[in-house]
Formats: sequence, structure tokens, C-alpha cells
Amino acid sequence: MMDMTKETKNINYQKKIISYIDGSLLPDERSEFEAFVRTNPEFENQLKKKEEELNLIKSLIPVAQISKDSLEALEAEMKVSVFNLLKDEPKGFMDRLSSAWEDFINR
Amino acid sequence: MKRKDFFQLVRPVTEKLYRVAYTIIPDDLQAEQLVIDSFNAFLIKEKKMILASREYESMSKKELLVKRRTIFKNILFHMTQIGVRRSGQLTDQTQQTDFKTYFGLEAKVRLVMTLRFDFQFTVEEIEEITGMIKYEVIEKLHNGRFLLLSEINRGVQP
Repeated sequence: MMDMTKETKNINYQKKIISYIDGSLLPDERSEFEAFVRTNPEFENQLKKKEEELNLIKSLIPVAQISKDSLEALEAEMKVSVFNLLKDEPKGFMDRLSSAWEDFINR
Repeated sequence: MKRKDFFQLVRPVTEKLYRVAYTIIPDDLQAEQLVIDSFNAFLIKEKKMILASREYESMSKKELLVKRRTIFKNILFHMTQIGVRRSGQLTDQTQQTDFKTYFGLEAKVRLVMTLRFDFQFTVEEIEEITGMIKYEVIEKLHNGRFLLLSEINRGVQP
């Protein structure tokens, strides 16, 4: 079997940088990749550059903020949905009573 | 699980749901509506599972966190199905003036980019949430990254 030169090895790992950053490498490949990075300082620099590029991308992605009032209104609407849509069919008087009581104390 | 406990469990993800919804439809009211519709779709589909699940008090903190994350991903699944279709029907989304380059991307690309870079979901998790195959997810990530960076290199404001 042919020995892999350092350069070929480097190219192979370079191809994996994006997958590593994307999180799409398999756990085994990931540990192998991280071990390679630890032992190759030049490669570590390439990875750092890619990570900087990634941070730039993150800064271009907005993080939407919701106002406090809107958030409270949204939560209130979700609470109503939970109480309306998650009703179990009452099987008898006691079920009906306990469901009505739960509705009453949580509104 | 009791209804009030279930609500306490999902309440902390409301803001995150809004963030994803706004990525798909960049309009305050439409995004809020998308959160409600996705949440209702989730409740209707999973009603039996929710009511039959273990009581809140019997779960450890770790179990609650795992459960909350699973629910979050489930709601996002419904949000993707409803939101991507809806974003194609809405024509007034271009009112968004900040982050023009980002909002100029296709809705599915924006969604995948936000899930990956804002919420740190893995590609496999994004597959589950969006129903896309792995290579489609990777392609969207690649395209989004490429388009954003080329706009920067051309000197266009983000």
C-alpha cells in the first residue's frame, strides 16, 4: 500500500474543513480531523481563517427580537391553544369536573 | 402530563420559535401568526403523546431539557412545512430594509442558515426539522454562505 505524502494528506483534510465547521462530519471522522489539526500548526491557521469567515457570516444573519408585550401576547395565545386543544374527552362527571376546575384555576 | 405543566415546559422556547419564524417570513405579525399556527398543528398532531407522557414532577432536569428540545424541533418541523409555503405566497416581505442580502436569499436557504449558525443544529437535526435530504441541506448551507460572502466581496452593504 502506498504511503500518503504530507501534502496529499493536507489536501484531504482541507476538503473536510467545511464539513467539520458545518457539523456534517461523522463522529469518528471528527475526532480524526481534530487530532490532525492538533498536530499540524499550519493547518490550524487555515482552519482559523475559515472560522473567521464563518464568524463574518454569522454577523450577516439577523437575530430577530420580539418586544416584551408581543412576547406576552404570544405566550398567552399559546396557553389558550394548550387548554383548548389538549382536552381529553371527559368520560364521566368527575372527569368533566376536574377538567372544568383545571380550566378555571389556570385562566 | 397536565396541560399547565406542558405549557410551562414549552414556554421558554416561544422567543426562539419567533426568531425562526421571522427568518422565514420577515414581518412581525406574520411571524407571530406562523408561531401560533405551527404550535397548533403540533398540538393537534401530538395530542395523545403529550397527554400520555410522564408527569412533569417525575422528570429530572436533564430529561426536561431533552424533552423541551424534542418538542422545539417538532414544532419547527411544522413551522417549516407551513412557513416555506406561506413565504412563497406573500409578496410584501421585501419591506425588510436591514440585512437586505440575507433576506434576498431563498426562504429555505435562510431557514437552513439560521438553524445551523444561530441555533447550532447539526446537519442531521436540520434534515429532521426540514424534511430535506442531507445533501440538500449541505447544498443550501454552501449556497447561502457563498452568496453572502460574494455580496460582501462586491462591497455591497449587508
